[in-house]
Amino acid sequence: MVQTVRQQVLEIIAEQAVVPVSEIESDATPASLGLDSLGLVEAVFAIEETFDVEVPFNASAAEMDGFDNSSIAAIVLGVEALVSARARPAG
Amino acid sequence: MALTIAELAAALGAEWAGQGDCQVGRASEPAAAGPGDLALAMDKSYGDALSRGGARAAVLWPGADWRALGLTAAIFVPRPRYAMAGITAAFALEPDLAAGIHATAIIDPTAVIGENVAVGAYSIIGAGATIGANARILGQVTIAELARIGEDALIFSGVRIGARVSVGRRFIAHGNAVIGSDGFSFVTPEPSGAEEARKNFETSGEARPQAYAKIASNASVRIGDDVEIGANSTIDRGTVADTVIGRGTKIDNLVQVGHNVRIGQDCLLCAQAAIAGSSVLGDRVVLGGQSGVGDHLTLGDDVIAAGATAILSNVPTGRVMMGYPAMKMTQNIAAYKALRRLPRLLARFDDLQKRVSKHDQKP
Repeated sequence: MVQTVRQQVLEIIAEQAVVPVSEIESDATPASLGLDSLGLVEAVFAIEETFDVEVPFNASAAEMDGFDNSSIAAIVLGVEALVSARARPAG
Repeated sequence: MALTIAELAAALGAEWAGQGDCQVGRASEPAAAGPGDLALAMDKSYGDALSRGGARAAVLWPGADWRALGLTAAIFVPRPRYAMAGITAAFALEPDLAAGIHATAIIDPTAVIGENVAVGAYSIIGAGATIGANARILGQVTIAELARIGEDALIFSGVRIGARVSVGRRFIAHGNAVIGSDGFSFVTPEPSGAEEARKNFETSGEARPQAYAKIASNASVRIGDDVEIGANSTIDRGTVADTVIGRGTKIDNLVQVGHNVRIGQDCLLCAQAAIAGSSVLGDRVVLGGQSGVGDHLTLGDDVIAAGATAILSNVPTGRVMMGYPAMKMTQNIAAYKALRRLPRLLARFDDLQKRVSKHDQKP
C-alpha cells in the first residue's frame, strides 16, 4: 500500500518533469528535476486529484505550509501522511 | 576568431586557471566540444558531458576541479547566464557589411551621414535624415525623412524607420521591424456600440450605422539609448505627442506597441506582447509572451506579467500579474487551486446532500 503511494507520486512527478521514473532519486529536489514553481503546482494538483487529498500550500507554491517539498522523499512522506489521515474514519 | 583563455577571462572579469595561452575558437556544448572549442559547463550537472566531449578548455562553476575534469585551462563564473552575455559577445559573428555606402543605396542629398557609417545595398535614406557615426545599416532598409538615428546603430535588413522618428545611441533593430507606422485610431460621429459596451458592459442594441473618421498620427516615435527591437515588431507613431520607448528597453519579435504608448526604461516585452494605444508603462516592466495591455492604462514600475496575461485595468508598482482578466499571480494560483478542487468539493457536497435528505426522511 505504502509502496503504491510512493510509486504513484513518483509517476506524477516524472510526468511533470518529463523524466523517466527510474531517474528520480529520493534525494532529488523539484528544482534539480527541472520543475519550476508552476510545474510544482501542477504536480500538487495531480497528487490531490489522484489521492483525493488537499495538499496544504499557499498560492506561492514555493512556500508550502506544513508540507515539506524540499526533496522527492519528503513529498512522498507528506503524501503518505495525507493519504493515511484521509483513510482514518472521521472522529 | 581565436581567443586565449586569459584574454577571455579578462573580458569577463572572471578567474581562470591552467594554461592561459590555450586558444579557443568558439563556444560549444560540453559533449559536442572539440579540442579547439570552449566547452560551456557552468553547472556540476555538465561534468559527465564534459568528459564525453573533447574540449581542452571550459567555463566551469566556481571551485570546480578542472584538472580532474581532464582540462588544460578553465574559467570560473559564479552566474552562468550573466557570463553567457560576455562569452557570446566575444565569439559573436558580425554581419557581413562592407564599409561605406553601397552603390545601389539611395541617400537624399540633404541627409546627414556621420563618420564611418556603412549602408548596404538598396537601402534608402530620406531627406533631412541624420545618421550617427559608426551606424551599420544593412541592405533594403528604409529610413524616412527627418528621422534621426544615434551613433553605433545596427539596423538589419528590411527595417522601416518612419518620418521624424528619433532613436538614441547603440540602437539595434532586427529584420523587418517597423518604427513609426500609422496609429490605429478611429472615431464615430455619435458614441459607438464599443463605447457603450466599455461603459455598461453591454449595448442597448440601438447602434446605427455610422462611418469611422480617422484620427491622423501626426507625431512620431522617440526611442532612448540602448534599445533593441526584434524582427517584425511594430511601433506606431503618436497622434499629437510621440510614442516613447525608454532607454535600455528590449523588445522581442512580433511585438506591437500602439500609438501614444509611453514605455519606461529597461523594460522587456516578449514575443507577441501587445500594448494598446496611450498606455503608460513604468521602468523595468516585463511583459511575458503573448501578454496584452489594454488602452489608456497605467502600469507602475517593476510590474511583471506572466505569459498570456491580459491586463485590462491599471496595475500598481511591483505587482506580478497572471491570467485573463489579469489578477495578482498569487491570487490567480489560489483561484486556480479552488477551481481544480471544485469537482471533488461538488462530489462531497452531493454526498452530504444525499445524507441530509435521507436523514430528513426518517420519522
